Amino acid sequence: MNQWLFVLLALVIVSAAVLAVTLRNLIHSVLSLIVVFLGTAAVYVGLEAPFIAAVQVLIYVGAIAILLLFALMLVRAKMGQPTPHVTGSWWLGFILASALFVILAAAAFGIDRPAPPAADVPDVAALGTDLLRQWVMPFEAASLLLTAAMIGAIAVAIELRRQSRRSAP
Amino acid sequence: MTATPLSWILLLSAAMFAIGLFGALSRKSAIGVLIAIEIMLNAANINLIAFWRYLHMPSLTGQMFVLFSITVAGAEVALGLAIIIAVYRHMRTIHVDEITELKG
Repeated sequence: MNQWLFVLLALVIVSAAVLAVTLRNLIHSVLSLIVVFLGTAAVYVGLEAPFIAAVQVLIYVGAIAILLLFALMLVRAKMGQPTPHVTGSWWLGFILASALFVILAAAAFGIDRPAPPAADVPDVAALGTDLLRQWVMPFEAASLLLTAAMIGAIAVAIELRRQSRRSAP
Repeated sequence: MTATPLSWILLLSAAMFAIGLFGALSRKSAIGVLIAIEIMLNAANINLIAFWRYLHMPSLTGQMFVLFSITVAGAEVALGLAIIIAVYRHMRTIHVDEITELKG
């Protein structure tokens, strides 16, 4: 895989990201967010992390994007007169983001180093072994976090539905 | 893709992060803000994988960080969307500049 393929991929990712944060229709924004996720997965494949790429496609494209689409359809804003889709002070955000990009880009130059040969890349079996040996405590903490987040999400949604039904006219 | 200089990958990630920051600061809809935050998280993950591939090869620490980051992102989106739906039921809007109940 050569570097011009990476440039092409980067252009696709950046333009899809720009569309995702500027499009007026949020459904279209989520669709171009999916392009960003898939492009990121392709970058992972190029960097010899195929398992992370598979996880990226499964969780980001398969779960998070679908969840965003469902939430969008649940909170469909009323179809009145079109309101601006950005806040009044968007230019402040633009200045801040541009300044951050300039700082990060200046920091990115000058740290180029040759990559180790691809033969040294550990395979997925090594990843699994490490996960259940060296990283077993974070692994268990992650399972606890996911359980807590799931219960919390259900609790937040259910409690308010009951309240709004009681206060409904 | 290892013929690619490391700084190019960092440049892509910096651009993604800046775009995400702009979206998070400028979007009116709370779901739009969440979309922008996802772009920023992906930029950070690309950085982690790039540094792992170029500088920390024998160990798997970079991949582990990305795995846990994706886990936390999943939890964050589930909770964030639940809160957005709860706010929508209360106030009939998800525009972040109209939700001013806590403003002093």
